[in-house]
Amino acid sequence: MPLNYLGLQPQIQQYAQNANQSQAHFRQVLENARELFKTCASQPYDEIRKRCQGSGKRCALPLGEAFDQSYPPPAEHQPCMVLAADGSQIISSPHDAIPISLINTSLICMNTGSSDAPQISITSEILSEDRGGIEFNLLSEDLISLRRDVAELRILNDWTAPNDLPVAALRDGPLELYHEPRQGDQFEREFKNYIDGLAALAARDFTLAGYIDRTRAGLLGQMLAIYFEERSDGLAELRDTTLLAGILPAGQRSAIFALQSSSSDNYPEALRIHFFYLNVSTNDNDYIVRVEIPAWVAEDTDKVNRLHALLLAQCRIMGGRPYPYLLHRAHETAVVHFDEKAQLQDALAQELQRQGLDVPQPSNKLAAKGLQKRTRM
Amino acid sequence: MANDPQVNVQVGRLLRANTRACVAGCLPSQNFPPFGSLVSIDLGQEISAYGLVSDIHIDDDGLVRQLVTTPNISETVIQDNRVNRNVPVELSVLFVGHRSAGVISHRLPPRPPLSLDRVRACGEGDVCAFTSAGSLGYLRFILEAQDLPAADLLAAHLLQAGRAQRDHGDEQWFARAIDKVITQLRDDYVRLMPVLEALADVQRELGI
Amino acid sequence: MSEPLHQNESIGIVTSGGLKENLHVRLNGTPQQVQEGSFIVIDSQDWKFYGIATDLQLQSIDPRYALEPSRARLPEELAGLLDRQTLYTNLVVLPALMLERGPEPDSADYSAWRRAIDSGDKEEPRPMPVKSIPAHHADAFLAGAGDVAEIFGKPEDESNFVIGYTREQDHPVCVNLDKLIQRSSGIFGATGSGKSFLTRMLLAGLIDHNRASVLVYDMHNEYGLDDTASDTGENVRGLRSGFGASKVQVVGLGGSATIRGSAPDFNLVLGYSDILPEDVELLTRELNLKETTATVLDALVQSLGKDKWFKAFKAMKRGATETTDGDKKVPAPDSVAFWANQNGVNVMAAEGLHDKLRRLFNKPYIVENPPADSIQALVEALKKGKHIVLSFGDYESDLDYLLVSNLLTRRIRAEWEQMTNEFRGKNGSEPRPLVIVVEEAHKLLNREMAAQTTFSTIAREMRKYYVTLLVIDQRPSQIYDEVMSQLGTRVCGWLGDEDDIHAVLSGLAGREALRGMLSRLQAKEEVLLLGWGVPMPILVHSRRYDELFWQDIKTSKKAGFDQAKVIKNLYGD
Ligand SMILES: Nc1ncnc2c1ncn2[C@@H]1O[C@H](COP(=O)(O)OP(=O)(O)OP(=O)(O)O)[C@@H](O)[C@H]1O
Ligand SMILES: [Mg+2]
Repeated sequence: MPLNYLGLQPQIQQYAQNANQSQAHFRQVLENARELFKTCASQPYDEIRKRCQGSGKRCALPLGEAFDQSYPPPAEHQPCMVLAADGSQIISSPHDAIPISLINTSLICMNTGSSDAPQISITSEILSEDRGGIEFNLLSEDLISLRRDVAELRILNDWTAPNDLPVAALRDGPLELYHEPRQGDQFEREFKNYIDGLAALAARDFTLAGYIDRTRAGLLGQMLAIYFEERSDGLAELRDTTLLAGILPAGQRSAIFALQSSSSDNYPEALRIHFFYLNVSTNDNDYIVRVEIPAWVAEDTDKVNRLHALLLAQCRIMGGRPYPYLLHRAHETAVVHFDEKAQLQDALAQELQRQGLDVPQPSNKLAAKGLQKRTRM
Repeated sequence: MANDPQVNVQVGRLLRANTRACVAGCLPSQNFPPFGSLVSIDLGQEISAYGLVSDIHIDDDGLVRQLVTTPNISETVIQDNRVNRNVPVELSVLFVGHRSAGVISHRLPPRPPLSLDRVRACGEGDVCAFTSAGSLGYLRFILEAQDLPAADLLAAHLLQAGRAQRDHGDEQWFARAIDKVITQLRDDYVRLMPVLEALADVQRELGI
Repeated sequence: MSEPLHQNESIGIVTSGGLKENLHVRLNGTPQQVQEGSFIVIDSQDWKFYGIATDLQLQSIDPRYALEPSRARLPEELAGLLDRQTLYTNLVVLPALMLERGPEPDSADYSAWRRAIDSGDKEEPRPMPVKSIPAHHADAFLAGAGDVAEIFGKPEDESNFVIGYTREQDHPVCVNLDKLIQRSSGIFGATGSGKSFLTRMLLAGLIDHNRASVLVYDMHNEYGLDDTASDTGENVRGLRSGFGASKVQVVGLGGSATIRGSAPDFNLVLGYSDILPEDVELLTRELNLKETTATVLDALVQSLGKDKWFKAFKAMKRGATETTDGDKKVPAPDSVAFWANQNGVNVMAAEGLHDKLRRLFNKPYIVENPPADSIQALVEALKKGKHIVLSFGDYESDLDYLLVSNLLTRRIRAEWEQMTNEFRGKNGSEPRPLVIVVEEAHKLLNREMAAQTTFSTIAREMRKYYVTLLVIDQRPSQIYDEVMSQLGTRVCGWLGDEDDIHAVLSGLAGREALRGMLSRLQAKEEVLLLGWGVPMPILVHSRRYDELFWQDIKTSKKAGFDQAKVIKNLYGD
C-alpha cells in the first residue's frame, strides 16, 4: 500500500472544509468583480489607461473596443495559408555520457482552401557555444527555451510562400518573452534576435499569434483593482477566464487589450504585445483561451477577423477538446523522443570514436534507466 | 505510386525482426502491398530475404481517436494524417525463403534484416521465380505459422502467385501448390478442409 | 474404368506386409485396374517377386475423408487432388515366387553376373518359392506376357499347354503336361462351371503331347464322340472325332452297346470269372450289404474257387426246398441255403447276399463266356499308346460305374505294377505312363471307399507305377481328404459350398486368401490353377474349347499356341 490512507483521512476532511469556505468567499468576489467590470467599461478608457500605466503593474490596458461586450467571428472566412511552428529541446543532463543540447523546430503549413496534405519541415540544431564548437557544458534550461523561441520565429521567417494568399502564423504559448534571467549578454543577444524575428514577420505582414491554452492570467482583475483602488479585495487574484465566463459566448472573442508588463517598453511600438480572449467551445462548456498578438495585428481588423475565424476552424477539427489542430501537429512533429536522443548520442559517440577520441561513459544511473527501452517482436 | 507488377517497388522500411518474421513500417499514403503478397528485403552481401505480408496493422493514437469524433473531417486533415503523421502502417512479414548469390532457397534467411532495411514488393517476375524454385517447400512456413489466419494468408498468396504463374504460362502451378498443401495438411482433416474451401474461391477467381 | 495400362507402367508401390500376412500395395489409380486373382509382379532391386492379387481394400488416411464426399464441399478439380492424396486402394498380394533378375542389363555388374552364370559358377536363376519379400516402395506391375511365360512356361514349348489366359491382359498361361502327369490331379467346380470342357481340352493336350496314355471313365458319354452342349445346343467335338480312331478308341460297355447311336470301336464285356469278392465288397453301400458279407464271400471263394464263385452263386436257387421222408421240408441241393448249411454259413446271411447280388447277376455286360478277353484288349491298347474312352452307354447307374471302373482299374494297376517291376528288374521296357480320368470321383474316392479302392492307392502312390489319376468332381468335400491332399495339380472353377472350397485348398499355402478368390470366380470358364503342378496359384479364364482350338491342335501340331490371340494382345486389334 503506497499511501497511508488511514493517516490521510483527517487531512482530506480538512481540505474539503477549507475548499467549501473559500468557494463561498470566491463567489462573493466574482459577483463583485463582474459588477465592477460593467461599471468600469462605462468609464472613460483614457482614464483607465492612465491609472494603470501609472501603477506600473502587469495588467490589461483597454483600447477602443467596449470591453464588456463580446465579438462574434466574421461571417465569411477567406482561404489563407496557416503556419504553425513549435519547438522542442533535448536538455543535457549531468548523467549523459555526452551532454549535448538540441533544439528541434517544426513548421507545418496548411492551405485552408485546398485539400492537399499540409507541408512539414523540421530543423534540428545542436546548440553550440560561442566559439562555434559543440556546447558540451550544461546550458540553463531557460536559455535553451529562449533560443527555442527565437528558432521558432526563424523557421516561420524561413518559410517561402508558394502563393499570394494571406498568411497566418501560430505558435504555442505567449509571444511575450518571460524567461529568466532577463539580463546578461546571452539574454540580451537572444532577445534582440527575437525582436528582429518579430520585425521580419511584421514586414512580411503575417498574422502572427501566440495561443495560450491554459491561462491563469488575471490581467483584467488587476486592471479593475488598480482602477477601483479602494475596493480591490481579491480582485487581483481573479483569473480573467473566470471573469469572462458567461460574458463570452461560444465562438466569440473579447475586446482587444494591450499588455502592460515590466518588459513592454523593450518592445518597439509596432511589436508591442496585445491580447484578447476567445471562447473556443462549441457548446455551453465555456473554454476560454488567450490569444496574444503583436500591435501590427491588433490594429488590423482584417487580420484580427481572419485570426478569429481560423482559430475557431482549427479548434473545431479537434472535436470535443478544442485546440488548434495545426499547433498540435507542429508539437507532435517537433517532439524529440527519448530513443531519438539515445540514437543521436550513439551517432555522436561513433563519430568521436571514428576520429580517435575518447568516448565518455554515461552514468550508471542513466545506463540502468536506459534498459528495456526497445521493444521486441 | 503506381504498382507496376513487373518491377519491385520499395514499400517501406524495417522496424523490427527476428529470424522468422519482421515488421516493416510504411506510410499510409504509400501503395503498400496487399495481404499475402510477396516482398523481398535486401540484406546485403547478395542475400535477400523473401516474405509474405502476413498482417497489416494500422495503429491509432490519441489524435486520431480525437479526430474521429468530429463530424466533418476535412480532406486536408485526412491527408495530413495519412501523409505526414509519423504513424506508419505496420506490415508483418513472414519469412518464406531467401536468395543467396542468385540461388533461391525455401529456407529461412541466414539472418534477419536490420532496422530501416528497405522492404520491396515483388513484381510478377520475382514472384514467378521464387514460387517456381524448388518444390513449393516454402508453403510450410504459412501452414505452420502460429497465430496467423493461415487459410486466408495462403489463399491470398496463391491468388497472387497463381495469377503471376498463369500469366507467365504455367497453368499447372496452382494445382501443384494445392497438391502440396494437401500433402502438408492431410493428417489434419479439421484444418485442411477450410483451407481447401478458401482455395476453391481462389481457383474460381483465377479461372483455371 | 481406367485405360488399360501399358505393360511397364507401375500400378502402385509396396507399403507393408510380410510372408505370413501378404503384401500390401498402395495402388496409384482406381481399384478397377486390378482384379482379384490378377498376376502381380513386384520389382525390388535385383529380384522379381510374383504373386496374385487376393484382395482389394478401400482405404483412407483419415476415415473422415472417406465418409464425407469431397465433391460436396469442393469443386471437381480440387476434390480430385484431395482424393488422390487421401483415398487409396490397398491391393493385397499373396506372394508366391521370387526370381533373381540380376543387376540392370546395361550395368557393369550385370555382365559380371551373367559371366558367372555362363561359366557355371552360378546357377541360372529360376523362380523359387518366396523366402523373402520385396523392399518398401518396390514397384508393382500387372504381369506382362513375358512374366507369365517366365513363370508358367512359354506356350511354344512342347510340353506346355495353354490352359487359359490371365484375367486382365489375356496373356496365355500354360500348364506343363509332363509335370501334370507326374502326380494325380483334379478338376473341380460346381455343375456347369466347365469341368467337362476343360477336361476335353486338357485331354486333347495330353493326347497330342503323347507322353502318356489316357483312359477316361466316361460315365456320361461326353468325351469320346461328339456331343451337344446342354446350354448352347452347339456341337461339341469329342476326342475321337478330334484325333481319329487310330489314336483314340471309344469302348462301349456291354455286348451290343451303342454310344449316342453310333457303334463303339469295341465293346467291353466282363466274364463271370472277372468278378472278385473285393469287387462286391466295394459295392457295400450301393447294394446295402450287411456286415456278414465278407464272411459269406470268403466261404464262397473257399468252397467254389476264386474264378468260379460268381457263376456258381448266381446259379443257386433262392428258397428252393425238397420234402424228405419224414415229410420234412429241407433246402434243395441247388439252393443257397443248402450251400450255406453245407459250408457252415448262416443261411439268412447267404440268402441276403444272394438277394442283393441279383442286381449284378442280371447285368447284361457280365456274361459267362465273353467273345474275347475285352479287358485284356483294352489294357493292351493302352500299353500300345492308344487312348481309351470307356463310355458307359446306357449303364449310367452308380452301380455300373463303381463296379466297372474299380474292376478295370484293379486289373490295370496290377498290369502296370508288373510292368514296372519287370522294368526295374531290367527285364522289360519302361511302362508307358497312364492317366486315368475319373468323372464324379467322389463316388469312388469317398471316405468309406477310399480304404478299399485301387483309386486311392493310385492317388497315394503317385506315379510309382506310372499310373496317375485325373479326378473330376463337383463335390470335392466328399472326396477323402487324404486323397485330396495328394493331388498335385488342381484346377478349380467356381464353387459355392464352403466345405468344397476348403477341400480344394487343403494342404496349400495361402489358403485364406485363395478361399475368397474361389468363391468369387465367374460361374463359367474361369478357373484357379493351384497346387504342386503349377509354379504358383493363378486365376485364368479358360481357353475356349471350340473349332478354333481343334485347328490349333491340328495345324501347329503343338496344341495351345494361339497365335492370333497373342498378336492381338501385343498389338491391339
Ligand atoms: N472352355 C470352354 N469353352 C467353351 N465353352 C465352355 C467352356 N467351359 C464351359 N463352357 C460352357 O459351359 C457349359 C458348361 O460346361 P461343362 O459342361 O463343362 O460344365 P461341368 O462343370 O462339366 O458341369 P457338370 O458338373 O454339370 O458336368 C458348356 O456347355 C459350355 O457351353
Ligand atoms: Mg461335366
